[in-house]
Amino acid sequence: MSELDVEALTEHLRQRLPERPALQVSELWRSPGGMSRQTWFADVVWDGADGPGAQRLTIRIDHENGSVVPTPLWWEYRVMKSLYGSNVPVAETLWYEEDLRWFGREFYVRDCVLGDASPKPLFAPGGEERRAKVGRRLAELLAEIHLFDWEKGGLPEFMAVPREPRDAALLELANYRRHWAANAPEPMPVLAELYAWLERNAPTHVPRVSLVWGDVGVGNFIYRGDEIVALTDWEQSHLGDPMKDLAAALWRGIESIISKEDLYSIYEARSGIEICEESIEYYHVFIDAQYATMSGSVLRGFAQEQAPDITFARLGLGIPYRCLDLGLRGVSP
Amino acid sequence: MRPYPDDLLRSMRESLTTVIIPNLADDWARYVAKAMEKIVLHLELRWQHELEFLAADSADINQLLKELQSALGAQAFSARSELAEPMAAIAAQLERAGDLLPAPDAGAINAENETYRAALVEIIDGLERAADDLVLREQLEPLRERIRTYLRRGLDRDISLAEPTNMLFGAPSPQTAQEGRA
Repeated sequence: MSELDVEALTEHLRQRLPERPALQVSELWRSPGGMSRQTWFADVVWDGADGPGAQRLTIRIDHENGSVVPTPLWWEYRVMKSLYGSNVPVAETLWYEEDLRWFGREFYVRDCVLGDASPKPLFAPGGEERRAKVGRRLAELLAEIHLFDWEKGGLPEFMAVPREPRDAALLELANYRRHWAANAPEPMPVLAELYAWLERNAPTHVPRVSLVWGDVGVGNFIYRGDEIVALTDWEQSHLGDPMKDLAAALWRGIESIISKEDLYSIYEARSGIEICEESIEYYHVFIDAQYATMSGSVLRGFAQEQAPDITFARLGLGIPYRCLDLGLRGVSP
Repeated sequence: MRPYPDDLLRSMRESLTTVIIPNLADDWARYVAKAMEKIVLHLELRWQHELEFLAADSADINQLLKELQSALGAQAFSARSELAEPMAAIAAQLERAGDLLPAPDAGAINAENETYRAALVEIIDGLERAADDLVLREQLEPLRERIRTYLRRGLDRDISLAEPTNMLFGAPSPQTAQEGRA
């Protein structure tokens, strides 16, 4: 059972936030879904000098079996810290905790941006106008991510910088191949074929090296009304080809809130980066391979004769088939 | 296809025991969930042992029938017409049964299949490296295509197993949006 303990969390927060007397965690709950990591929310209250204080915090922590993605937990923490205050809206990260005594693994705490991440309200009947506005804003924010000054933001301190155009894809591909080699639950010839094709066909033209969000889609941003107030899920971020994010957006069904044509035109107008459809097609296959790879680490616990939560089986079995099927159609129509 | 069925059943039982049952407030729902917990364990054990037990049982009965046939065919019973029916049943079954089927070894079948797939992964990687030479690449392409045809056939074969758990990543319909996505 991978529950966070309220008492341990309360004690931890009291140590971290001594300026908040009589701090209590009034509620602690886990966000349902999510594959890469666990997300928890904690409502905290305390006795302030001017009356009672309250804040909602978000806690991110790896699954008990470790990271499903090839990046460590601190990776997304550092990316969000770098982005905070820029034109890319993210939650404020508060601290990173390396001490394992609290929950047996590292975690970090950030301010909780209030709003919805679930598609449910967005797709409620009559929400067409709201969806369209959110879709347009997401296209603009993709442009803002890709214009972000990553050198000034300190990202090369921990992210590999592509020096040649092909490296924009190949550096990240190598990460996933290593991750697969370390976590593969069984041999997968289709994935080997996809990797071979991806290596051979990496784009030779990259419009600019950008910060790539990685996992673009409904569910990975927080919106309030028709405004996007924070982008989340930065665990797949890296420096590379901005077309990968366009591919990710389409791959995850962004056309349910904005047409491909509008996405492209708003993005190009805002970023000045020209869309390259051929690269986007390439990155569709890349993302298929990427998700099939990650599903291998989701299933890692089963190979170790443990009994992971059944939701791991749902994710680990539910994702790879479709990815391998689509990927193979991409390389061998 | 990993995880194997007993892995999945063990995981289902774990989730029932540690997540679902402790959080069910309704007495009847808890009663039903506890029944499910027992049945899941039963299924796990059936997956592990049922075929082996069935094969052992058939062998056991086969041996028993042979002993009965021999005993009932002895002098003392040979004139008793009341025994004609059971004797006929024994003879019919022994004739029908032929050689006993061994219990299929799911673990060995999976292990064998994994060795084949691992070999194919090595072959794909090797052919890809060899294709750095453009002449060789052209010569090898028909073989690569042959491999891709096999890969497609394998995926098409597995779809019936994969379909129930397939996850949605495309544009949500109003219904799936209400249910939530990955």
